[in-house]
Amino acid sequence: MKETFFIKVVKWYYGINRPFDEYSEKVVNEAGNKVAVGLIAFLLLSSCLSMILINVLNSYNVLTGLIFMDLIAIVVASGYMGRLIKKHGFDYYEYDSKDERNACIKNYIFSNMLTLIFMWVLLYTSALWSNNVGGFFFFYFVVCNVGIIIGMYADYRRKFKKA
Amino acid sequence: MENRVKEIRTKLNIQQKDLAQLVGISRQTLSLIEKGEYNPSLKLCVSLAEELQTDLNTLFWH
Repeated sequence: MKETFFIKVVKWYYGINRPFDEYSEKVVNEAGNKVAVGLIAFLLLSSCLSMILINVLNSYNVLTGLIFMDLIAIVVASGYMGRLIKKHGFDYYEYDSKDERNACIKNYIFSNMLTLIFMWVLLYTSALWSNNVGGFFFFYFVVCNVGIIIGMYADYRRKFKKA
Repeated sequence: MENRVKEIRTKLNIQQKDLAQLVGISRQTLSLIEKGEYNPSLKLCVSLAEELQTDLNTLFWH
């Protein structure tokens, strides 16, 4: 099955490392619909709540609360999808030879580099927003990156450990 | 849905991975079909019947 650019993005975002066939498409679509409904409901609720609270509280605090709640919603939605992908084994690579294993490892490193860049953008924009691009941010940036790299290495060991 | 995919595949001496590649699905999906844990689409059923040199009735209804 020829994969379009959009399918490649979906596979990268969800961490799917198998051919995106009708079964994986069905599972991802069903889960995606649940997440979409949940996020729509959450966005409606948070918008209504923000409109009420802005009359009572400081608008900057309301905005801060809204940003944090949105980020939590993203983490919850991503966590749900990640758990589903792991449950169905979609994140495992399949290879029979050393060449195939090496090709899978290159693919794995490339997709994790993209994830790392995405995290750097998120960290930097959060630092800009909190007006905290300085010494503490550098320390926080290094700690986050070390944690991410350790997690990626543990994941690499799990997926590519030699039998 | 029970089927004879595994029976006919092994009779023809075709590996699971090879058959999966021929019909454009993952080995995992083919395994689920063989165990009867996933009902494939009609298009996939037809592809499987073609690759296994049989017809739909023989493969999925017996």
